[in-house]
Amino acid sequence: MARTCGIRIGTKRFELVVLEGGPKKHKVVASASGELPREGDDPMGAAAKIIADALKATKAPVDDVMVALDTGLGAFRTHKVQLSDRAKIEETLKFDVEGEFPHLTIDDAIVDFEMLDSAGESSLLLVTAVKKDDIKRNIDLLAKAGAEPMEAELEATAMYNAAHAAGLLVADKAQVLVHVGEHATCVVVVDGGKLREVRAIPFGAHGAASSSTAAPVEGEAAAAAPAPVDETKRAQQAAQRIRRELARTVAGARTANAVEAVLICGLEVPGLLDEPILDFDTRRLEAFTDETGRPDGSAGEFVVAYGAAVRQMGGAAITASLRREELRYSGTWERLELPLMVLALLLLLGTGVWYRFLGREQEQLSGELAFWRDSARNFLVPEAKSGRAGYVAYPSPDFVKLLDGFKNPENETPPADQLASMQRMLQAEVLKLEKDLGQDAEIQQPQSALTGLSAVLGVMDSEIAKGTRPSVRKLTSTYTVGRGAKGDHVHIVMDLTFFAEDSVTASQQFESFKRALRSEAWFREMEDKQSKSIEGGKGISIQGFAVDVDCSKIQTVKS
Amino acid sequence: MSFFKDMNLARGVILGSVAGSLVLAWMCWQKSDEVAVLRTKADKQEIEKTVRTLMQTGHKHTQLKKAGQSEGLGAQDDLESYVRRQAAFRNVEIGDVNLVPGNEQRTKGIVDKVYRIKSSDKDRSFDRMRLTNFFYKLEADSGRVKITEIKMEAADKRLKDHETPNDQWTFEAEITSRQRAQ
Repeated sequence: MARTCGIRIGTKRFELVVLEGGPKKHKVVASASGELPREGDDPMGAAAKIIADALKATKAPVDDVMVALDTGLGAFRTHKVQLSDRAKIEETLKFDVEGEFPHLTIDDAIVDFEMLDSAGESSLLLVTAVKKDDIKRNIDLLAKAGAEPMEAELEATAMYNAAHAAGLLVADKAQVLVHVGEHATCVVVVDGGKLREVRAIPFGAHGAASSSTAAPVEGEAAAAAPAPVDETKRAQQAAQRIRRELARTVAGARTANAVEAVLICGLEVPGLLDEPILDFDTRRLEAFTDETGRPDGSAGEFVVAYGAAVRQMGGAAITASLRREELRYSGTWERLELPLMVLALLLLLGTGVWYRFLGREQEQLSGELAFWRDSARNFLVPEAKSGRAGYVAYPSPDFVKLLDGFKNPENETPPADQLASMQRMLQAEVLKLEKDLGQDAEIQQPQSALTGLSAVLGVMDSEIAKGTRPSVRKLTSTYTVGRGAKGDHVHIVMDLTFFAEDSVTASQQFESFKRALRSEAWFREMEDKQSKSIEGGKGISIQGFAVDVDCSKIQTVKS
Repeated sequence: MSFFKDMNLARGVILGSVAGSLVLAWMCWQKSDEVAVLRTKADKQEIEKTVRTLMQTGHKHTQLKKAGQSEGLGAQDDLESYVRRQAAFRNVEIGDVNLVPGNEQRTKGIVDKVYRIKSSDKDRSFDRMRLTNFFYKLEADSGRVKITEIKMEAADKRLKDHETPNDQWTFEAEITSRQRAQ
């Protein structure tokens, strides 16, 4: 069952009512009231403690609190605008009515409104302006007491809501509702159950207001103590003045229905209810019934707190909002909750669908790769049963084991990785075989002395075909490791004899041999030695003829 | 924060959905990476290339295996046995040879295993065909052996420059097997 708490914060005192039930049917389960200290080092802290104690004593729901502030804090105007849409009125009103509140800096005030009448495109508004500082001070006080209110309103609307909830506002009559505060009296004219006019009389049960503060100010020194006045005399003065102001208000009230009565609540002012005002019946505003229960003490004092609690419970006819700017954020949240929820669900659904699509695509691609893997596996290894030769004619046991492992349905390795594993293992085996066979590409083999020698003797053989008659007596072919710019090569040294008709012809043939050597791509350099005629002059002899051959070029030329 | 302070079903759903969406989005991001890799791998050209490479490697494997089977110098063989086997080969038959082993560090991790080969009878001469067959067989039967030195001299030491030598030779050779240091 819902529990709400309504609090009225006045200039000198507070009242709170705790309701339990629903908007239509509820019961007062607790109430409390007390004086707010205005003296001492920390009047605000002391006031907060008193309120906190009262909240604790009444077990008030501190998360469901509505506050009604002193009417003296507000200023009321009726204002006509050529708009009927509330949202548009909200946007422009503050600046429309700036001129009507010359005593306020409009940016420092909260401007609230109630639509009194609306016809076509024009609306008649009851505009309320309250200083932000005054609202903040009261909110801070309650926050310090541990019960930050959800909203704030003035006594006028809370009183109206209380009367409305009590069924006092009938459709064919008009009433004047009066709340007597400490230093201000609030007058609300209701016609046919609808709010028509609000007026604040700057005079209350304790006289005129000395300051506009509705709650003690933190660190504020104690206000100047009022001069002692005779209580009876002051009460008489208060009653007279309030009656006078009420008479003016009632006389000036323009209502469609006859004024039924002046209903008074708030602080007791002796003599206020003694006589009718301008012949209108004057009686207490009885907001509490046997059904709702009654608060402890003077019921009239709790009417405004009751109205605030009813408003918090959702039973208000008027929902003033003095925290509208502060709560715009949370209000926005509340408005956006539903669309945001739908959006968030759509987002969840969208990401879920995306994930599913990705999963299906992954399965499809894995299936394609599995096909290639199976096909590759079948073509790689030979199969004795079908007599099919594989690309790997002599698979190693490790490779066969790897392939067999891929046939296992429990193997969770992706097909692409399986293909890569096959390639890796095969490549590793190929490298090992290359190493075993001396084809290790990472090791540069020495050049062959036989190859180099064969190249030189090959050139000599081609010279023989031209009629040359060389004779080798001694030869040495040695592989030499390259140093510096000179790379690996084969160094060949030969003792030769060239036979011919005469030594000149032999020399020519030797020169031809050397030219032929120089023309070869693999030729690197030659160490020429002196030749000498052989005995009988039928040729020449060369000792230590040396040629360097780059065998890597021979391979290049061959390839 | 008022959002959490005034928690209700709608806000719970919003929070839950947003949290779930974030988790799912992260999972999608991970999976999309995996799918992107798969897409690349499953691309027809790419997969064909992969499989073709695999087949080529398999083919090369087979060739190397076959080459290994015909390799004269088996992986487990030592060079000395190999040389003696070649020396005794048909059309070589140069008789017993002396082998002097030696190791030479070439670069870090690479070593040259060297054998100097001489006839055990220093006065014995051989015809040219036998020696060239011997040298050829040494290299041809193994990819791991290179002849790095050949010395041949006419066997007749008294041969004059103007005289024609008979085809008898003495020889000395050196073979090298370059391999990784064990």
